[in-house]
Amino acid sequence: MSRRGLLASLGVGVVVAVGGLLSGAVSAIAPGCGEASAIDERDDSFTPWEGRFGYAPERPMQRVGQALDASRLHAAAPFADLTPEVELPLRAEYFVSVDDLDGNGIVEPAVIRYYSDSPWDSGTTFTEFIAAGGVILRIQAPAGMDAQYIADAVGTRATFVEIGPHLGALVHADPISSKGERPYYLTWSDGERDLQLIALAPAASVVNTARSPYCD
Amino acid sequence: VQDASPGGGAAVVHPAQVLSATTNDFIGWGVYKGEGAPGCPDNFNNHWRIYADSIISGVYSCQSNFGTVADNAANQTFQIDYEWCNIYSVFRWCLYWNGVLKGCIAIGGTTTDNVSGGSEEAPPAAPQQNLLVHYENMQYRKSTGGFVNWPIVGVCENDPPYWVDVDGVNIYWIRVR
Repeated sequence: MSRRGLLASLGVGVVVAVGGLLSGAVSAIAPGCGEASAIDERDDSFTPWEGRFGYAPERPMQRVGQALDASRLHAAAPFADLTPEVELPLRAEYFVSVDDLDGNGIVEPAVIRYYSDSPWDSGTTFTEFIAAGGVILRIQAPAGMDAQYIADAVGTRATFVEIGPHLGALVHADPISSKGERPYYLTWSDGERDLQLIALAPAASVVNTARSPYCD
Repeated sequence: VQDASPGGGAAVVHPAQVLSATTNDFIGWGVYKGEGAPGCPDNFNNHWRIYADSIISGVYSCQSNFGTVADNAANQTFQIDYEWCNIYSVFRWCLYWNGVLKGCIAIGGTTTDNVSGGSEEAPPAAPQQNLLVHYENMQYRKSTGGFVNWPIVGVCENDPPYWVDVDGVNIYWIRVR
């Protein structure tokens, strides 16, 4: 079993609270390469499923992009040569080239990886996939979608954590269905790529998975 | 529509909604009456209140400090563009009402393969509001080229929401009147 992998058994570890790395936004910083056993979330409030005006539609989650084999993927997206230790089989890997987050007129390609205990079904919705324990890893060429970008958007709902030498924004999401499932979203940038990990798993295991490629 | 009252749920019309092609994020831009959503207060009067709601990184938010629209108002235009936002001096999804920039919102993507207009809905606890909404002009624009009409122009009168899929990606702007 991987020492830090998602769904790994939680070892002994201590989360150290450190303030002030980013102005007014940091409450809990886990050691960048330690094994987190708990995350002190900054804001544990959430918006319930009922009563919202709008909802993301239940549609197949992978609507754009190409499924590429490993050799073609490496040529198309060398920035995606990063392998967090997710303890589930990789079921699908899509190359997508549509988003231009920084608005410079050049799209930042992305690779989206789906890990699951179940065989890949392209008709699966986001909610179905995550609720069933699937893990989504999104890696894109750097475009400013980093921890600060997320913190600026969601405020105190983001808790900053260290991902190796990098800063991540951990968000305990609002329910993704009427059943109340609340996955974690972890967003960080290592300078060569922007990444986002989504899983219905304990916060510490999500953080440990993100740390795995940066720590021995 | 009958004016909503406490306990009567809400009537929500969001002529323009973008859904990120690569994340599960979205932005909705429209009007409502009746009971509010978290972040948007109740609105029990004869004006529709303009609102925007969104999800980024799994977090829902709603804001409604954009003004109101009279019951009998005509030719209201709702537009969402991904472009430079002068309010924050960054690229964001920019929300226009009748051509006036009212706010800017970030989500995790800049493109959508699905734009929504003509949606009308009441939250699950609300009774049917018997809405009838006409959209005279519905357009989208990709990253290059001008505005084009949607393949379907909407008249919608029922829950659940009414969706229009646009064939392709790189949809950066939608405009609905």
